[in-house]
Amino acid sequence: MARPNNARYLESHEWGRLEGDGTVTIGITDFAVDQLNDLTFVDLPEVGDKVTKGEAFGEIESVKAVSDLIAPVSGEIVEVHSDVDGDDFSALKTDAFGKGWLIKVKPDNADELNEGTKDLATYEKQLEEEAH
Amino acid sequence: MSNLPENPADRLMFELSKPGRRCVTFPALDVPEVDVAVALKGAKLRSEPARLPEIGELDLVRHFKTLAGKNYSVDKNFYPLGSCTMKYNPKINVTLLAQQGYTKAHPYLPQADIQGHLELMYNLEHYLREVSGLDEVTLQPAAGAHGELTGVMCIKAYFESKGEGDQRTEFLIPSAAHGTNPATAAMAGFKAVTLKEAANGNIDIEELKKKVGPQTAGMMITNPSTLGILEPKMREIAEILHGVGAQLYMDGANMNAISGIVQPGDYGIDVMHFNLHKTFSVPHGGGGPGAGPIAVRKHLAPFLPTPRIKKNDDGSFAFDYDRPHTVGKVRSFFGNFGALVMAYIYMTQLGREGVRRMSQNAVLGANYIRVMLREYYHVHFDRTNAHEVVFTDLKQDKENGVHTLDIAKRLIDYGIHPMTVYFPLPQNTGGHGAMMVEPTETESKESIDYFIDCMKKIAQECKDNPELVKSAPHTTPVSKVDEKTASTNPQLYCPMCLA
Amino acid sequence: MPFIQHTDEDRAEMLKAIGAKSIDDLYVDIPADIRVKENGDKVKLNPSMGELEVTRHINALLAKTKNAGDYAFFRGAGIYNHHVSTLTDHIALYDGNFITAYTPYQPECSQGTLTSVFEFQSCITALTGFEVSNAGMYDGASALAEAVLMGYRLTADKFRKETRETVVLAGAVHPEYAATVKTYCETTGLKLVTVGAGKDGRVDEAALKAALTREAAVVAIQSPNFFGVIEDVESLVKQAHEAETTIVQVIAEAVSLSVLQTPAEAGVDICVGEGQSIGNHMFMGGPAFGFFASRKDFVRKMPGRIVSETTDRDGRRAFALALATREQHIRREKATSNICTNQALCALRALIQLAAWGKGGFIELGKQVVSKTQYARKTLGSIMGIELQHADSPVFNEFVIRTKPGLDPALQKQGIMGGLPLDVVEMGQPGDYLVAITEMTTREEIDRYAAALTELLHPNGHGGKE
Repeated sequence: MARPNNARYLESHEWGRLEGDGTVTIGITDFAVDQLNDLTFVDLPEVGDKVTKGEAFGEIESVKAVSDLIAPVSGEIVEVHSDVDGDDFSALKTDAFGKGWLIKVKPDNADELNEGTKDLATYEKQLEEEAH
Repeated sequence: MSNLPENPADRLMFELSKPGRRCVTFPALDVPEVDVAVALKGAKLRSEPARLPEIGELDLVRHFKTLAGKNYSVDKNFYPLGSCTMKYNPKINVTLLAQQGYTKAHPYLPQADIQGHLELMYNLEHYLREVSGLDEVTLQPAAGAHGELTGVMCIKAYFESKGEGDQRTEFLIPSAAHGTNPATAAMAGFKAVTLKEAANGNIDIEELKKKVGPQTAGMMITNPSTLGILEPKMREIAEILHGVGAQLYMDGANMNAISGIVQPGDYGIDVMHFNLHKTFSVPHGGGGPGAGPIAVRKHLAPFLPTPRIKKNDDGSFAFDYDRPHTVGKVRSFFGNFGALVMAYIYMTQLGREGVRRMSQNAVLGANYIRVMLREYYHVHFDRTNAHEVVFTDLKQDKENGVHTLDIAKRLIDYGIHPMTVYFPLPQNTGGHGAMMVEPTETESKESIDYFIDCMKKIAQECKDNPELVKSAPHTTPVSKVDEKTASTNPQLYCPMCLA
Repeated sequence: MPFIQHTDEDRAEMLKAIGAKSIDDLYVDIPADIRVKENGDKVKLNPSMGELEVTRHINALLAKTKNAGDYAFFRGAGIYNHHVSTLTDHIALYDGNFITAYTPYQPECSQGTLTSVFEFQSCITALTGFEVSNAGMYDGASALAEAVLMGYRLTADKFRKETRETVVLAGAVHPEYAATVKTYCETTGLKLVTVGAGKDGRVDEAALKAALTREAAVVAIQSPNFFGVIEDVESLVKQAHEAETTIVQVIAEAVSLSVLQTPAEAGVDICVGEGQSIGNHMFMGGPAFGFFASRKDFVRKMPGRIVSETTDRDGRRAFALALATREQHIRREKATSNICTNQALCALRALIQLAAWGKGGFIELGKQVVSKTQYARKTLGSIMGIELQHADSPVFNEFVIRTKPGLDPALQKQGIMGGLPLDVVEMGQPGDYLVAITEMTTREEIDRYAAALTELLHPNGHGGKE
């Protein structure tokens, strides 16, 4: 799966992408989905909730692990991917950067998305290092 | 799949059920029979009887004996489940407990009728005071985690009594700690702050100094640690905490290594719990009941749950409810009394030297396993260990793509219950799945050697025939179980039991 | 040494393999100055005892006790003198395959325990009407405390923009349970409000309404309550839900579920209870177990272990621990509870006992308890000088009488353990007694109790009300 060049990446394997309408779409990378190969549950917040950069906005579970979902930007949630909230992961598995998105956020400050996050090349370098 | 006829003993009881079958009958009613609907006028009644199984006595016994045969247990199998101390449970514990004086002891009997029970609890408190080196004991908590909660509540109440309740908001917890530690701290309203261990597995003193402060209520430390090693700087850790006015809680899950060898009170700890089902041989019961008494230093004693047990001047015993500073009750009545009786019988049999020998032999066995298997499996901290030793799958993973879980499942084929796996978490064991082995002192050298031989054989199998290991177990009533579906599509009851 | 099989030779071989001179070398990480010395007397325990000596010692302690079997026994209040089937002890006390196993983390060699937990959950489902039961809690009191915390989480999650941190507790909840809830609330920072019972022994519904402010998150009731009175659960549920709170019902006498409406049908959100009266000996109040049941939608908020049916690799039916991400060993400080070791063996006992009673036996048991309780209530109530409390309210197995205080010692001398004096547990005035009946209570015992009370109240003759 090709990872998009126009997204920003977190070390903890979330991605965020600034859309044309000024919102930021947030998801997790195909690598994270692979790592959590026994996905059982995704817990997402509600529209109208606030998220804070660097803090958890939800959780993703496999049979024997739970991981926080970390927000790459602060703002207010404008849309939640209801198909994924719960236990249907087909979209996550086939299209992590497209149909597998998790939430859309109206950012308090869109520039924040670039602060402390990685571009694609840097993120892929991280993945290479983690493989060793 | 085979074409064998289905054995009814393999069915669920609900599936064996037929109207009219039953085991227990009652004496004929000796009072006038009432119409329940009339007698309980004003109360709503069930629309239909509860759908319990209807089964004859032989089939009931056979059902449970069939199930019993599908369990591995200490009576039948070497069971080196690390951090759980699966030692032999002497039969005398159960036999003495099954007497009517215990089975029909009601908690609201007058105190004159329960003097022997109060004396037993008083004596058991004394035993635990001696083993802990602390000042007072409550026997009430039902399990280790319950003891943790009770201890942390006492610490909280202590700070509130000093007017520091709002200030002390954090509990420090080593990253390799058992999950109950952070869960307990959170349940008691504290923020659980994680402490990373030093490279050798001990507490990182510099890290501790950095994170400790006026906001610290306490630290929970497991000694020996969950990594199977004794913490050499216990006294220094206690001093650091006391230096900022904080308290040191010791998780006593691993007391099977040091009972009778060192009194934890001498380390400077303020409170600790015991797991009587681990250290003092209350049978584990397939998950409980255990008992999790806590021992505290004097300054925390006023906060212990009620009632306390006291000895009167005339030698009689009594419950003491007059404890104005108590945290209150953490459960009903006086604790898992039946479990306390069994621990008491065990400790009485061991006596002073027996308790010491228990720890010594437990530590001996675990170190022996480490040195005998160190060439075959990576030992995460290859140094003198306590009563358990942590291996990882580093070698097998790198060389043959075989993982901890596979090795654990293969042990089942050799009639051995797997060790504790993936605890401590991979982040504490170099990213490789932990295998925590605790033989206990009650296993013979022959059993320990058999385990060692099986582990060596599995190491060889990982090289010669990794698929054999990865597809294990091969000899159990069920093959590898699909635990994912159990969580994504849970079926939590037999459909026949609900309308 | 008891239970240690190593010979000196074994020990020497093992030490040699390790490369240590003595076992003491293995304790290098304990500073020498605090290490207990060999044959020292720092740890003051008695010398070791053999099987014969410890048996004598235990029997000497037991000789200083009396138990329910020594009396015509009318005490309950949360722990009940029911018959325990011999089957229960034969399987769950003496079969080492159940009692010497531990938590079934490895399903392939724990199908016995896992299957029995699944059957236990199914029985709790049959009793309560709820789709989800966990594998059990410590006892009824801590189960109620945990249910209150879960109820709070449910309400708080639903109304995240409000501060709803008040727990409304019915006054007729067992005092030991209420005390436990209070402890848990204090430590977690929840506010506790108690709503007393009215003259009829039921929750004062006007007071409940007043307590259900917007800060209220949870309502916790007991039915049958501590006085034995069966609450109007449906009406309480309606009030609790109108105020958008979560309602928890606790049951101290699980046998009442044989005849009473299921908590699920009454609309309760979470039902918990004490399981002792099903197959567990009294043991001074423990160990028994708490049961914990709720709706499917709430399963992720539940504490404790849960077992699910699944399959093995070859498609055969198998059972496994499920939804473990709720629990402390995975979720750590964010877990739904810190509970780990529970009371599995006591839950197994309940399963065996329920199966031994069976569907027909359980309902017969319930009916016998009701008939005997009605007989006892009528018989004691007809004595001059005894006033039935809550006389117009329905009771299942227990009821309160009001009479002269201080009758207890005289009754006990005659081999009768009368009802629990309620002033002792601060649930009534001197002279109030909570009388408990089970299927073990005989008519002869009830008549003897009544005759003794009559004699004590009217030493000079006739004490009937007619």
